[in-house]
Amino acid sequence: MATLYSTALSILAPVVDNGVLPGDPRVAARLDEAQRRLINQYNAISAREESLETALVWQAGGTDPGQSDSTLILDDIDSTKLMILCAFREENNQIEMAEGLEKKAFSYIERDVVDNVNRTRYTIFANLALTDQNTFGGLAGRIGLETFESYKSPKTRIQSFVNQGYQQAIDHYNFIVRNEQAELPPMSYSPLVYDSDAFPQMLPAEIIRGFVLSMLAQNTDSEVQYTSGKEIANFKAEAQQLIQRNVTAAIQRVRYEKRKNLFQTADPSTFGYHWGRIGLDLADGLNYSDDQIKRAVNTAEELLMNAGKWVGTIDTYLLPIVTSGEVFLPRAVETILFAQFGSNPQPVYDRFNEWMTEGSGIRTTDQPWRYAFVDRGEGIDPSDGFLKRKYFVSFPDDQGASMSDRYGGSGFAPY
Amino acid sequence: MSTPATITISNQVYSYTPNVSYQASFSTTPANLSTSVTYTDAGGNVSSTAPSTIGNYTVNVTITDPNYTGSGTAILTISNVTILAKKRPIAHVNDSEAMILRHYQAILETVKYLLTDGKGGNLETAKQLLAAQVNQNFFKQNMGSVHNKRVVNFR
Repeated sequence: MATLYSTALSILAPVVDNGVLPGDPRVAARLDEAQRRLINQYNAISAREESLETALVWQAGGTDPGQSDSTLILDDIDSTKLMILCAFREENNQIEMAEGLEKKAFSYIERDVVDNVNRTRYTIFANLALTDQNTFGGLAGRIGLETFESYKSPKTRIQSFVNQGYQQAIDHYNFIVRNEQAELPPMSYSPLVYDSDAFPQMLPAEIIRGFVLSMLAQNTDSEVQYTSGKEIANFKAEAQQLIQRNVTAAIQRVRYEKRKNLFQTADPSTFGYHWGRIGLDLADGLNYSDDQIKRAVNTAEELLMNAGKWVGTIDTYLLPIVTSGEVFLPRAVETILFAQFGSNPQPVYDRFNEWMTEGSGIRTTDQPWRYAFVDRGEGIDPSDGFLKRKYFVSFPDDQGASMSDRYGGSGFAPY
Repeated sequence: MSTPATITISNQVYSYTPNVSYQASFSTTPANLSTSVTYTDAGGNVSSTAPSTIGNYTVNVTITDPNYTGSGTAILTISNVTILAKKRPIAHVNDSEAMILRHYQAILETVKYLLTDGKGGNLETAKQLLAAQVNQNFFKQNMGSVHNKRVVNFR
């Protein structure tokens, strides 16, 4: 219950100048002086403790002097009484006594301010701790309640530590997913603002908490330090291990599902089936990234192809050609061994044949002459960007005509 | 009001056989909607009859179901050009690409060999598997004719 100004005058009158009557004007003057000194101290300690309370403003005669219902600005009759005694001793040059009284009065003020601040913070943290721990507010509340030091920190400072921990967690996450073993995209940091802001699934509260505790321990007051450097490092190392665990689990789950899907649905002759199944069959296959498995399959095939002629290294192709013109062969074709149109084998010329004295001459769509394949080297197929073998396929315009029709009855070709 | 439907059709190549016609293959989503199909040859002649001679044909598929609308186009080629080709190793990129070697165990053994610096797989085993496949194919391709010859000889 607030102390009325008039009540204060009555209580304090006996200690003013060794005792005066309550109506004596010296009582009001001493009260004003005491309140001024105490309010200054109160505001200083409040600022130091980062109290959420508004700073007090001193004015002469209490809040509303002369009114029966006005109250003291700084409602602490004990410290006010001590400060009045202090002022009296100072005026009598009893400095040592005055200092003792002032110190005691200030200690009351400090006790009350710290107590109020802690109670307020406790209430704030307790309410936040009732919310989901994987939210900004939820974790800040829990850290506020669980760590001894945090009573000395306001909510905003705890939140600042949480944001720092959050950023450290993201940095470490990005460090892990940077190498080829991880197919996860990096995260970008933006500070959490609202109590309801949630942490990413990959970086839950237990991870952020580790980083925050390591920082809180580093910043803790040396007088009440309860952690060693080793413990600080442990907080951080454990948080980093948890990130590694989460990243590994998430990546392996995605890899498993993708490879299982390829194994179950892809054609067994395809590249997808091979790398998908090999990724599952290898004892520690899920530790290898998709790209590593794909590269190993390609290298394996190359290694084996260079080691001999096996089933599949020579194959037949049906080409979608019906008129003379240049054509890109399938990417895997190195060279044509034989070519046939229908059931008739036809010559396959190398790329210099057209230019040799005894060669066939340049073959174009205007001069197809007769069925043939002419090597035109290698080029990039614009339809898919792959380097492929290119051939000119020669279809005579008069295909189906007899030799005598084609060569004017002589039966001899001009070449 | 008719709903849009999807026709899935891609370019297709058929091996020419005299007196055989080739219909374009396609699918609709929803499935089995009624459609009309036309084939346009290089000369611009349009026909609803499936082609049977060598050439390129533009296939147009249109949904005729009154509740749906949609169309699709592709090239159908009837070709008689075949080649026997030697292949080279390529770096496969797309999952749907066909492997050149068709022996899963041989590839697996070699991948183990590669990923473990030779400790977890045996390259010689992989080669033996491929060699066995070659022998097996030779046996399959030739036993029939050998067997028939023997029968003929016995006769």
